[in-house]
Amino acid sequence: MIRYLLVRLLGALPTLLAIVTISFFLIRFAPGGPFDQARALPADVVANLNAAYGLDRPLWQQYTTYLRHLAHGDFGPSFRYKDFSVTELIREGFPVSATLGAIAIAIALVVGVGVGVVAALHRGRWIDHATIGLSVVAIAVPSFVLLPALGLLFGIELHWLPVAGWDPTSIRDYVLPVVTLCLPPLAYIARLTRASMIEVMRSAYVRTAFAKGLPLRTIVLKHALRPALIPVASYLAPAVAMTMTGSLVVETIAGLPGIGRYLVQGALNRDYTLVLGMVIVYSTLLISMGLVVDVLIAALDPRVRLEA
Amino acid sequence: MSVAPVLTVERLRVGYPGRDGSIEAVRDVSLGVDAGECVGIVGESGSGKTQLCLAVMGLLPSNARIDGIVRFAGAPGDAVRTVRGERIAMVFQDPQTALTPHLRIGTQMTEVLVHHRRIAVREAREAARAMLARVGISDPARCLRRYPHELSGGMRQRVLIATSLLCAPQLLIADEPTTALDVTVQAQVLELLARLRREQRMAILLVSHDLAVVAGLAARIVVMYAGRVVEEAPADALFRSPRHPYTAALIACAPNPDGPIPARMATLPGRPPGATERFAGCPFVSRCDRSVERCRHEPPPMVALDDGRRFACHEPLPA
Repeated sequence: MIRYLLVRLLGALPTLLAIVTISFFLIRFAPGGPFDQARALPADVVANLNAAYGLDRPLWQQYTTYLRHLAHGDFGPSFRYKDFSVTELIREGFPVSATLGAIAIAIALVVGVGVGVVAALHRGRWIDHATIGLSVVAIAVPSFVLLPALGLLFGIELHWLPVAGWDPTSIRDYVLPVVTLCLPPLAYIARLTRASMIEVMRSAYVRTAFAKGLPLRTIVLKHALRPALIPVASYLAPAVAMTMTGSLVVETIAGLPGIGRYLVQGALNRDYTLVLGMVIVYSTLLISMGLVVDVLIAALDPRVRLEA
Repeated sequence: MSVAPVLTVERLRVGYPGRDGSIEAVRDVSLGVDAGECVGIVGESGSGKTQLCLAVMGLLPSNARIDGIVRFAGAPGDAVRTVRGERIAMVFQDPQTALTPHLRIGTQMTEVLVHHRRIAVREAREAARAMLARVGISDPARCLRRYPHELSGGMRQRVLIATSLLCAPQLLIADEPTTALDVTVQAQVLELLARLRREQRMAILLVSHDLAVVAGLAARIVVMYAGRVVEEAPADALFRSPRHPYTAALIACAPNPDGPIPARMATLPGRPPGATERFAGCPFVSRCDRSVERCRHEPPPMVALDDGRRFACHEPLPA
């Protein structure tokens, strides 16, 4: 399995290079530049800035320089956050975003699977209908509506929770962003679990388990749950992607010092190095999630063997 | 038939509500299985054999409508559910899918004993190993450590049979236990069932679409058609002189390995009525060469004879 992981990781490098290359030229071909402002700067100032950041050289040269630095783990300086390197920005913001995202996905998994199993076992009854109905709402309502709505209710009306702000030691600050982040993947996981659980409960081996006279609890937990989780495991990679995009909005609205806001801000500001840094971080995360999913599925199903 | 029956089924009906009228899978079936006896149920696909077995086991899906009586002598209050897997066990048709793919054979076998007998896992494992040896698995200890996908179809069916026998049931329901297996393995499994029946003195309800499978094992054969029992008789009498035209047709269709090879296999033209179809008379009327006008309108009553035979036909074949 170690061999499999190494081969897969090596195979991910060309993918990553392609992503970096496409992103590099895409953002460069977008109109405008990092030093454009409402009032145009004097031409010699712009020329000085361009020279300082190497923007005066041919594009392909800038590309190779960027790749060379990248190979040494240097994401370059930020164009807009003066005196900050992209590496520094990411190092500061990443733990905040990762903490939020990990908590959100953990909750989505545990609660989503639980709700899905209960709905599947009560198929066609009110608890099942409620699950399906609520999950549609949870998937459909965008985070930029949900978070302000929750803030309005629990922050401004009820005064239970802060609307925005970040103090890493205060759990109250986590609640609304985490709830907003975890609801869509939670709803998705609940529906996936419900569907696959219903299918597994109809399978021949579950019928055998019933014929053995085992109690329902044993049948569900020991015989049915593990195969029912396989689609959920496959969904984990998209779930991480969903949480990432969610965090762009949530961090901006709640004013959290994560990295989610950098991608949008970086793109709008033409902060070339910051955008590329973010693209690399997110791509790496997603590619590794694909690997995690493979390993999880192999753990769930003994018929799956990881071979390079 | 003086022995007390272990299983009694009376006027059993199984139906499912459906959008285009309800489905009737089992229509008014009565039968009994005596202690230690092997009863065969024969009928083509869709004749309600499996539904009957599942109804006896109490394993039908929740939307099934069940009517009639199922009594199991070994259970408190005659209810099967309380002794399912212990005194009444079932082996299913397809050994490829009947074992949980992510659990080792050992786990799937021992859990039965641990649950019903409340014994330690170590003891249960020993019992499972012994039972695997009895069903002819050459390296039982190794087999216990295997996952289902690492075993052949024949081995899996042996494992399923062994699992069902762990608690020494009074009745084993075997629903097409050999259909998914190749012919040589088929013979071994039937041989195994015959031996275990003698050794454990348990009753077997053997279900098959194949008369030949049932013939070697069952002392009594029940023929089902379109959810009904059309004929029942001791096995030798049934083969010697079938009274119901459907039984006769089934026997005629069975290939005879000793006779000359026919240019075409004998077949029965037409098809049985679907489970949603209603019929006023005999379900077999459209395929029957003996049918008369009365067969279309009047359901043939079940006629019981002294020799343990019964059949439902207006125009039976002569004895």
